[in-house]
Amino acid sequence: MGQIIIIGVNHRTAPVEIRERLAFPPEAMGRALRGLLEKESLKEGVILSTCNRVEVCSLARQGFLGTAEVKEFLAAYHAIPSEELNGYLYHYEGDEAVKHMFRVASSLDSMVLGEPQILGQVKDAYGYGAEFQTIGPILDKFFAKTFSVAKRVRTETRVASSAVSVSYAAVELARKIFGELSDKTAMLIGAGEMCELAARHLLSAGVRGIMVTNRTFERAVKLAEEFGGTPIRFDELPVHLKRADIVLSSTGAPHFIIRKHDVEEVIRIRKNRPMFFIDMAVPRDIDPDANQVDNVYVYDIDDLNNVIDLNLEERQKEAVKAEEIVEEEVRAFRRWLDAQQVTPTIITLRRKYEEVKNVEVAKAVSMLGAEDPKTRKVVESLASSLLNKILHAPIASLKKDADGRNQMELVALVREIFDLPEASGRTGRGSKLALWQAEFVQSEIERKTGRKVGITRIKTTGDMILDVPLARVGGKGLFVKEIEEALLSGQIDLAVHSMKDVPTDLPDGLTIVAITRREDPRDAFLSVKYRSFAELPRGAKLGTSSLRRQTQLLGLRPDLSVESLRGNLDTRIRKMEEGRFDAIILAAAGLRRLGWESKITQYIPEEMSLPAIGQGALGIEIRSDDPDTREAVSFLNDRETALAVRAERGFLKRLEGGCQVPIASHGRVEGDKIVLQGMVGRPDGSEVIRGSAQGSISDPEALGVVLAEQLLGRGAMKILDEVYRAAGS
Amino acid sequence: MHVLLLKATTAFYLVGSVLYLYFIVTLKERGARLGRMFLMAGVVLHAAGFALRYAEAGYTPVTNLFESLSFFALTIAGAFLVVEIRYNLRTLGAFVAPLAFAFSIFAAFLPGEVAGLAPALNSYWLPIHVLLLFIGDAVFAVAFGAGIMYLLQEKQVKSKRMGPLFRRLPSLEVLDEINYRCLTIGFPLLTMGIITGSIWAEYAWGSYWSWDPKETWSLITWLLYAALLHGRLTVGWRGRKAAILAIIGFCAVLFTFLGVNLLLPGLHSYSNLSR
Repeated sequence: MGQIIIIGVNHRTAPVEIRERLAFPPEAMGRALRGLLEKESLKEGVILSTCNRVEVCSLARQGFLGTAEVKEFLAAYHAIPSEELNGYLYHYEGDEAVKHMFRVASSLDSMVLGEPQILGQVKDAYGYGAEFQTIGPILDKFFAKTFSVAKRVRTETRVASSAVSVSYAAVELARKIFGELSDKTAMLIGAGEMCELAARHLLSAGVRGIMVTNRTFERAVKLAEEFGGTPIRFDELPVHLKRADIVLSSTGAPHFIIRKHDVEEVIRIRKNRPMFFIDMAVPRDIDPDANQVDNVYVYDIDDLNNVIDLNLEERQKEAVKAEEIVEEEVRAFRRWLDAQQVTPTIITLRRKYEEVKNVEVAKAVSMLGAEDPKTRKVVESLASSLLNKILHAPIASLKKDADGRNQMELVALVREIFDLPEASGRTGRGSKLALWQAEFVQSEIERKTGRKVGITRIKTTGDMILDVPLARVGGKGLFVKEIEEALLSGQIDLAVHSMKDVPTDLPDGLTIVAITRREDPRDAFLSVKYRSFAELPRGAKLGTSSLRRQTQLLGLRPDLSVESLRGNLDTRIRKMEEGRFDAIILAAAGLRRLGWESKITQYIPEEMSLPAIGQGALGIEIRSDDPDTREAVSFLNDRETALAVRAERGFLKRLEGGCQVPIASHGRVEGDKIVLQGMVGRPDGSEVIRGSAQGSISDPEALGVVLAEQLLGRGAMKILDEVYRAAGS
Repeated sequence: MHVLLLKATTAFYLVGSVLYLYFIVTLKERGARLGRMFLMAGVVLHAAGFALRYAEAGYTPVTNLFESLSFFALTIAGAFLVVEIRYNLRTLGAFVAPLAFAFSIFAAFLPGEVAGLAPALNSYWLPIHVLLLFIGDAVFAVAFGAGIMYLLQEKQVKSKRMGPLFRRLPSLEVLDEINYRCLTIGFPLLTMGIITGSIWAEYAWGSYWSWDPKETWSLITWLLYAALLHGRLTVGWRGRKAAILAIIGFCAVLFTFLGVNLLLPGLHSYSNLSR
């Protein structure tokens, strides 16, 4: 199966000049990741690139080969001579690599121990891998685990919990004195950089208001504007001081500007409501003796620095606990990884030699010419017991717990000497949704029939081309084509498709044997800014990948600006959440399957947006001459969905449309009738033709054709001609 | 049955206290969650025990030392749970739950049989007078715990030496607010408890006030809390001063309750060790 490897540099092994040269800027990530996986033995890959480290994490068929290839890749990509580069690189394999990544994400390997940014950077790196499809099942699980380890370290130890910067330490202290800061007022005296930073932190921690004073009033006005606070004249400071709960001071005054008796006076007026003075000035602005006044706390810059030093020491101590957690999790991940490898290996091993045995037994029986069952039985039992005895030792050692020995190497060895192929089975697009679909079918089949099903990921061209709208990329059924080739070549036995992606004409030799019960076929409206489609303001930017939605929604709201949205579901949602779109439209079913229902802002009713043909249903495609698989999966078929989808596809076929044409249709079975609705429109929404028809369940395709003819006669013909011409086909 | 229940709850308070202490040391959420569950279970069983005992005895069973101590443990645990849930202040458990345990275990070492009611106590005033005072005292016990926490936390902030407790203890303002809330609830209860006691004394002993040690110490306690409340409301006594007074006040409560019973003879000696 392979081994996780990590090759990279960090702030300890390489000077900044080298790190700079090795960095991968975000815009280059796609090219870099694809380039990485072109290497022979690298199967999955993620690149982490921050100002302090550049690391390549990969799943390699063989550790040492993969390591060499990653080094080659880094040298070639950045045009740095290998001899120069290798001196800076560290590399980890297997458990060491797992441990390293856990430590990095938990911020145990950071320049400032416990700094919080690294986890976000690791998440970004994972995000790129997901976006560019360079993450497979192993790295996917590995990174999920990495994030959970980092979270555990964060919650169970205090490696990251205490402030290690002066401004954060000030906020932390304010929180311990005042609890909630939302009803507290701060006052900023003077203008030091550190003071302003602390003020900013206090504001973001929720302080209600801020007063700003400065010897130069104009400066106070300017700063107050920046902070959304109130400027105060310097000579009026004593009057306003009583309103301040937190006082930040940093003036160039040569002597104290707030003395102990000033503080005593103010605290009396405040009826002992506590005050927190943060004195960042050198020489100091506030008499340190004021700290003796009850309910008054005065911290100067040295005090804050001492707090930070203590916190750092504390972090060091906590790091020991964190390392223990990491060790524990490395072992847990090891067990998972072993289980991933061992079981399929044993199954493949057995299956392979069972076949050999069967062939040889048949041969022997026919050579003996003996048809009597007894001879046959003797030969068979001889072969079986021979096989079992030979396989016993390798299987037993595979099953044995890897005590110190690397199970992965053993599995690789067994696979190599017995010449076992990589696990095969079935398919889907490499995205989460596709994987969910495949896993769903896998578990259904395994549950119902007890047969073992493996999953093969197939990367399709469609997933790689991200900057061109789906409608313009290589004709119909883009996603499906490469999967069907794998099916025909026998690489996989069945393919799971979203029915809406499946072309109307299947290649010879393939057939759809089952259509699963349809999920919610509606479109979902997602937005963080607006609560419904109707609420979108004029000209709002709406993201969708489908011409069907674009056509219908523009038909309702010609003012909207609809733009193409590609990538996996998570990428699409992220693009919306990052504000690149005001709202996006996705299929509700896909979101619900992944448990992201909560992200749905509004379901768009069918009257507004008719669903795509086959929307929400999965189709199981197999080779026509594979009765075995046919039998195993036929139970997945849902009669009513299948009838409706057949009618919809009849409609689509008559209109000769793939998914690049604004066509929609949705059928529903009512008793022994199918009610079918259809839509054809112009992509810009300027014309939308809708119609409906009813027909018997005995010939769903014919009903589709009837409805198609009806719409063609009402102007759909003209529209389709134009659309196809524009698409250049 | 009820004696067993009353004594068995000690175990719940013990486990609850240990769990809260475990939480404050390790900061593992589970400790606080389980601690709360054990304390809740303890309170429920404890209350059930008292209900059964009431049914058997036919009077409110807070008439001897065993009953009083046990009942005090119940009210402290109850008052603590209310405050803990209201303010989500899980660290408070480490300071207050052990009090409930302490009173409970003290009671557990005393004979628990129903002893019959002294004729002087046979009155409607018994439950009113005693309940008001015990609930008030329990609220003061919570203020006592919060006061200790305040002093610990304040010392760290003031001296600028942050020990391991700094992170664990809540903010000064929250602790001070608990002090104030407990005072505004506990003080009226204490006042009414003393007034009802005084009225009852007139019925039972023919005099509103006879300077019996219990009465004298009640008055001292009342004056302490009255001074604290007054100071808070007029000149803004708060923070450290208020915390110290809450601690002294609760010591006075304890002396009024136990010290007087065990050390000073007087009219209120229904619940000394000899009974």
